[in-house]
Amino acid sequence: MNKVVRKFAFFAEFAVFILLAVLLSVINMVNFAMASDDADFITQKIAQDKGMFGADRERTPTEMQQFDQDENFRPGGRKFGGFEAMGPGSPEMSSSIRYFTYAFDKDGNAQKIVFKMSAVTEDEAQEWAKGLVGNTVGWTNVNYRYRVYKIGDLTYVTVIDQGRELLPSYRILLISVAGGAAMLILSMIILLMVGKRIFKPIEEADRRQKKFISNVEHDFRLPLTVINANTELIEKRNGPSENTNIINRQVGKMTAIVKDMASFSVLGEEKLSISKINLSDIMMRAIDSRSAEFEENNIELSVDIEPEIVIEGDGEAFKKAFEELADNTLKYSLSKAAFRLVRQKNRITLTQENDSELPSGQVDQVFDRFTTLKNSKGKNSIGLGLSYVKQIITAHNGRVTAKVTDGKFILNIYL
Amino acid sequence: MKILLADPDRDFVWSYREILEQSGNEVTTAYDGAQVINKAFTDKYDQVIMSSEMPRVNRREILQMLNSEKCPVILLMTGRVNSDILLDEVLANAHISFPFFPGELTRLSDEVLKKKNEKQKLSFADIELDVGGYMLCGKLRVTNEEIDVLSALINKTELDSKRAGPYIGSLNNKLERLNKKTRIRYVMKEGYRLVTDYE
Repeated sequence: MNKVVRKFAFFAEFAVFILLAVLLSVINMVNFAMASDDADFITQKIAQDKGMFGADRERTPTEMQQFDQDENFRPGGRKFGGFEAMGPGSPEMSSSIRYFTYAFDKDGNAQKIVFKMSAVTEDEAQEWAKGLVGNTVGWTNVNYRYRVYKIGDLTYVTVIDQGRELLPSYRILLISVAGGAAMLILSMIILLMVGKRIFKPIEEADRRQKKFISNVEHDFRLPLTVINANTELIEKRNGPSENTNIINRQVGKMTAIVKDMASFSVLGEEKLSISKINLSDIMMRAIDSRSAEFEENNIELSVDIEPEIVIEGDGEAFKKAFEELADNTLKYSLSKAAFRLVRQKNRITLTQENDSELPSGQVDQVFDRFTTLKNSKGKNSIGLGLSYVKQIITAHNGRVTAKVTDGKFILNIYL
Repeated sequence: MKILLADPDRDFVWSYREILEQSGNEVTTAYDGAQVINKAFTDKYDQVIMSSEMPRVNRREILQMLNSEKCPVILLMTGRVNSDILLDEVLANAHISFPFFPGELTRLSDEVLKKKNEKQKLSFADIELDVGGYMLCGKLRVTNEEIDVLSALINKTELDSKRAGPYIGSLNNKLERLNKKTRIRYVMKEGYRLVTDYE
């Protein structure tokens, strides 16, 4: 059940990751788009004012008096307090923006319009601006927004420093990435904790179901034995009759059901009985016991089993699992089947291959309990074989995979 | 033969008492572990047939006491006979799993009695099997089924591979515990064989 919880947590986490990624990407993209718009508003204002803010022009004392009274000198007009005084429309904009504008004639001769920047020298700024001629608007050197525009025959290039304005955007980006990662870790922890709670009732139901099957199987054993004894006693006293024959037949059927239930619930409630076991011998015997049937069905059998592979495990469980595997191979092989058991370093690999009509789309169903796939001989399997194999291998901390390629069914068991 | 039949289910005990008596045995019954111990102390039995799940005293304690009295025990198993049971030092002489037919139990009962009276000792390479003593190399206890498997392998008689299942593993584990060089190995197309080149 832990595997189911982990799977649930993984998929839920993936959904959280997608949601967070979309949400944070949208927030940051909108934020940077708005920062670009603000910067463009400023460069537009500068372009309208012919390369510099009106407030930055040199003026006579009369003009100074006019400047003091004329709101048009201030890009945002006179505003004090309120939202409208914030951002690029602020009356303080002209004095807070660091920028330069150069104008170039057709021959590339530069004319300084304004230079209010400390990060570069005037010569560097002129070269920089020259390099931007031919563009229209955009970001340059990360934090600088530029606009190229024509006034008369001259091409104006205005570059403004938006470093301070972009800083909050970068902070939001950083917080988004760090916060997003923290959210993912936190959500994974919560999902694992919550997952256990969510799946607890299902786990409990599954456990109860197995317990019930185990109990039924267990509780039927003794009564059947008692019925057997009493039927025999009746037969001894009165001689066999049709009635005792019927009892015997029905008890035989019930005994078979109980034995089936025992194999179904072998790992349901019962713990593994671990001891040293010779996996090679168990595998060899399982195949050997069916070799005559492989021959009868004209299935070419290839067996390559490395001897003396000894592990700690439940011998009876492996014996049954390998018998199920051999039965399954017998049922679904067309003309060829192969078993290979090898130990490489600490890993034991059992590969079973056979030519098959199984469509690759159905390969995931082979491990499903009670799933019966129509085999080539037109018979149906009981639907427990590979599910049981997987159950036993998983209980021994192993892994089972299955695939179909080029009409070949390949099952790998890793221990 | 004097048999002590013990199971908490009275219907079972009543039915099988009659079955065993019809086979010419003298049967005493018990319904819990304490009764088994009391009766086994006060009287001598040729065989004890008891459930693996007895009330009041657990199976292991009862077996310990019966082993020391050298009284053969057939354990009626509610589950499968696994390596935990077979590799335990405290061991019954034979096991039979529910559900079974009366004939299966009486046959097993006769088999255990027959073996107990046998003086035969079988040997192969570095191992020795005391059939009557239910002992392997004089040190480890073995069950009726393990004796059947090992005898068939030593005498090279037919071995029912399907029935031998859990006992091959337990015997190999016991041989390893005894530091013997002999092991049971599976040979393709031939079946199980005793091999001595094992290191």
